[in-house]
Amino acid sequence: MNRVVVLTIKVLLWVTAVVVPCFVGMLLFFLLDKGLPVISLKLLFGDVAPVKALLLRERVFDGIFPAMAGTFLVVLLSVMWAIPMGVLSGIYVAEFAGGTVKKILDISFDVLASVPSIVIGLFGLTLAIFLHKNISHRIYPCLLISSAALAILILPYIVRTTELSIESVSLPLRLAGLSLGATKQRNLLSVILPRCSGGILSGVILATGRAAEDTAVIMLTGVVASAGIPHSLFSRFEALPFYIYYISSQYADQYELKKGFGAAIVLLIITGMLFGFAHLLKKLVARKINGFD
Amino acid sequence: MSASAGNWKIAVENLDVFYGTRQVLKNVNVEAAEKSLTCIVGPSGCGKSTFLMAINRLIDEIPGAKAKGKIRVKLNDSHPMDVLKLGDDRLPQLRRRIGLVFQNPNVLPMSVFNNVAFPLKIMRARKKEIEEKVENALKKVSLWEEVRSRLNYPARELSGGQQQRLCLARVLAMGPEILLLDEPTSFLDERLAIKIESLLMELKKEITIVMVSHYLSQVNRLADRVYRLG
Amino acid sequence: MMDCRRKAQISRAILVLSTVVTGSMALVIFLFLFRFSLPLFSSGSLGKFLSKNWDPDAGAFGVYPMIAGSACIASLAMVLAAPLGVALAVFMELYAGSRFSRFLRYFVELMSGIPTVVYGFSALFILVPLVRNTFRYGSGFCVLSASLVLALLVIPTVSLITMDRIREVPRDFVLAAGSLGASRLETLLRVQLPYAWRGVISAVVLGGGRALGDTIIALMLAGNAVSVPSSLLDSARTLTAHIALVSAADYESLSFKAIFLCGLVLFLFSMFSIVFLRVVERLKE
Repeated sequence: MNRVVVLTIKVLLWVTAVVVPCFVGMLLFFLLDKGLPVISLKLLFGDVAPVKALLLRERVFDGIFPAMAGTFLVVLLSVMWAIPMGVLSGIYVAEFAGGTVKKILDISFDVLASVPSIVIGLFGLTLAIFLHKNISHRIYPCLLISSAALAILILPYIVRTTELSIESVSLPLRLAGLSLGATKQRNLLSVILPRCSGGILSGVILATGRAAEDTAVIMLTGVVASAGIPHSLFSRFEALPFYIYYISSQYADQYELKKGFGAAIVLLIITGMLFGFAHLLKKLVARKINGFD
Repeated sequence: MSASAGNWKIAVENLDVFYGTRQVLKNVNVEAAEKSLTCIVGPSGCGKSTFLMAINRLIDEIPGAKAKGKIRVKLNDSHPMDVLKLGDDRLPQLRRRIGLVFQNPNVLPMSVFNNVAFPLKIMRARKKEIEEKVENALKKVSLWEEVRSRLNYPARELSGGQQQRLCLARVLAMGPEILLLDEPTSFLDERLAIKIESLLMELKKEITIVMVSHYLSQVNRLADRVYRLG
Repeated sequence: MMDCRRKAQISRAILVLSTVVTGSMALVIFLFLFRFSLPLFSSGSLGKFLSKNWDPDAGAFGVYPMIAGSACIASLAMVLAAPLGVALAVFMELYAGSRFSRFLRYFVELMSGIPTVVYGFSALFILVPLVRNTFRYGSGFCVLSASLVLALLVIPTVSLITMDRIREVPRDFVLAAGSLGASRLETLLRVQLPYAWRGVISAVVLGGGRALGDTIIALMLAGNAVSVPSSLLDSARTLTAHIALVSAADYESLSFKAIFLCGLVLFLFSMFSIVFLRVVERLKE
């Protein structure tokens, strides 16, 4: 290739490799600069004593504790829905489905993974309306509906990682169990699943991170700006990402804005920890697999 | 072994090669005289292919591989140099002058013509020149008649023997000074193997050849000097 | 104790049952959206809904401006993100093993983990004023601001997929090209990228899907004006933001029904992009 062309390409590559991280770094630095000084117990609990707030003795009005608790609950519930359904479906697709059925299921999960989260939120809202009209007038968008919709959002990820992890188990290992007289189910439970549990777990954690950061799904299905700690599955709730969005459009004074920055950092730390943990796990799994070779 | 004596072209001294922590070559010493054919023999898995890849520094492309020692090469119009000390930016130049043909034909995912033309295009040769050189190279390896009507077909569709000769043609088209061959006739029937052997006899009048082979009769017919590895 | 056959049957039934539920979820969502936007089709007022006017008080429910807004913002984001993402992937491969390249890989993975709402929040206070002051036009809440941040959101998708697909190119090809005197850059541009072109297309289409499907960034940064944008500095509203903004107070209202049309458009687009990718992956060399 021509020297000039090579040089031009290299310069462009370097510019990209430097400018993109700088741009993101700028956004993050600004956030940390504004938000870190705000991080304190007061940000979390306002004027309420932390112990009282944690024991739910006193409602926190002026801190982000209810939003953190709401995010925790809605994510926990959605993962509880999604893990069994997702892992079982992943097992079925990897081990039992064949030919056309597998192809159709694969496409279906790909489509589900690509559906915009707001559309899943809309689906959740419609479901709530449907239940409200036909089952009970006491059902409104709430924690339960939100968690179910979030579960739909992360289901395809869990199915996919389960499927891929199972399929990556080598044939000799598979046959080893079977040749010793194990049934297909037995082999799955005692040879294959233990082998790929790490991979599945890291996929689940990544999916948890996605559920924790999503705003679009919950904003249609029951999240509100102020609700305190939800006391039942049918109550409305607060959540960190929605709180941040809400502050950005409705802040009344500089103090509220600062709380928004603080909340953004807290959310960043939570999702950052989840992603970091998932990647660490993935690396450990890779090392374990390589170690056997 | 002393590298100073005679008209050496390649002098390998105390070469060690590691893949990660595994040592594949240990203290290898080989000297190849200019315009001669040097054969490397040894049991399979003793690192013969690795040895060839060390000479043109292709092991740099294998993650985790590391070579220690000296590989001195005398190229035309330049002073003798230690290949292992060359900077990364000079490797493409080096590899153009030291052609390597793999045991398993690794054709590129392109047409027959473009496979042979690939190194020429990289050297920015003119279109006319490329066409001539491709034809010449294919004729040298007795492949021209078989593929002249299929030059634009994917190279993958050729038979194993045809692919092997294509890879040899591709390297010859570069016009190398040194030719490294890894079992060059392993995919060929006897008739073609003999043709390639006589081509090599012809080539060694002009260029230096280092060849890995496990056909003893072939080694006896062709080699000016034989080294045993492992 | 249950006998083995019985156990196997039950466990299999559980597997099938959960697969039926999860596997049909996409279809169920589609049917819901279709069912609720059906009144629009059957009443023959579809044309009205595709018109340029959105003014619920005046009885105009056209979603065309939102379609245009989504198209503008997502495609501008992709015009930025596709070359930058591919360039990052090429860079990381070109200097693979170097410290900076490894740092970059971690950084890009980190980027994919940053919550969108955090991007939006930060950009709201840096980028929007910057755009407003630089161009001295409008409020800074515009197509450009949203697209820039959306591009950052999509870059990791594009570059991580592209890089994985470049790595899947058989080592043999890399060695062959290297042995023929191609430099790393030449090998990447002449052998690896052309071989992985399907992967690059996948990366760009999946990235485009993310750009089109994202709600929060456009909602926070694009200004949400219901009009077809005529310049990059105009405010616009995307389909996703429109769904998020319509108040659901009155389930029976026509304006509420129109958002199902938006949802349907988004769903169909993501479905077609997946089908498109399947077709592309099957194409021969």
